[in-house]
Amino acid sequence: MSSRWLTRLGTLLTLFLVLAWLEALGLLLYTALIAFVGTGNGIGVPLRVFDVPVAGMAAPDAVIVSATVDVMVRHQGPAPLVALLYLLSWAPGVTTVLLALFTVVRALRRARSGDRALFSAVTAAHLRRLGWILIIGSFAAGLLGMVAEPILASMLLAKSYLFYPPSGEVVAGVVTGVAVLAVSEIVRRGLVLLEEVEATI
Amino acid sequence: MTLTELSHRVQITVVNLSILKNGHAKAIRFSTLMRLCDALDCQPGDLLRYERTPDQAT
Repeated sequence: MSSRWLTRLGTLLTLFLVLAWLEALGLLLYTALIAFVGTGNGIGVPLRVFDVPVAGMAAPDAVIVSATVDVMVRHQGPAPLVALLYLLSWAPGVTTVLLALFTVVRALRRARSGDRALFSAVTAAHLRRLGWILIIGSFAAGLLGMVAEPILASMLLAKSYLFYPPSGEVVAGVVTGVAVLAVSEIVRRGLVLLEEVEATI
Repeated sequence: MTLTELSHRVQITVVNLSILKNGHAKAIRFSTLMRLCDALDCQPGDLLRYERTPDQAT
């Protein structure tokens, strides 16, 4: 029963991994197009714009205090620098997701073939690796994004800012990584206790 | 009494009895200790001995 559940979860996550790979390849192809061909009619580079005019949009008894919108900016003609900065803004996040999914799929595959399913030292090691991947990857994505986004904005927008706060996904990635590390430690300590119980004659 | 006979009386495997005999056991249940004492007609102190390990000798 447990094995069947793990098999289904493994299949689902493998499908997600394949889809994530396809998305990464698509983004890479699109970045190459920006660099060498240009995207006259293609999809633009996503950027955030703050303090958008919102006069007349609020209800009579409400006030809009701030507005942030996501805009897609097209660059006419080949732009290698824009492509490089765009690559820096998405590649760390996508790589983190790919590595995390790959680690989970591997952990599930090993768990299926093991005697103790998920509760094993191998799973604890995989979880620890997953936690660090999420923490380091999210930090790297946030830092590189904070460097790349202002430069991209200064190149593609008339008005840009020096600091663009990291998105909620970065914070969520770090928090999830810490939670996964905690679960890994719980599994590891549980295994030590189990080993002691089993070694008692 | 052979190890096999003792293992039957104490209700543990010969392998575990051998582990206990050679001092490789990490822990022992009170019930096992009681059965051992009953089978061998001795006290726990006759079976257990404390030895200071080199790292505890400071």
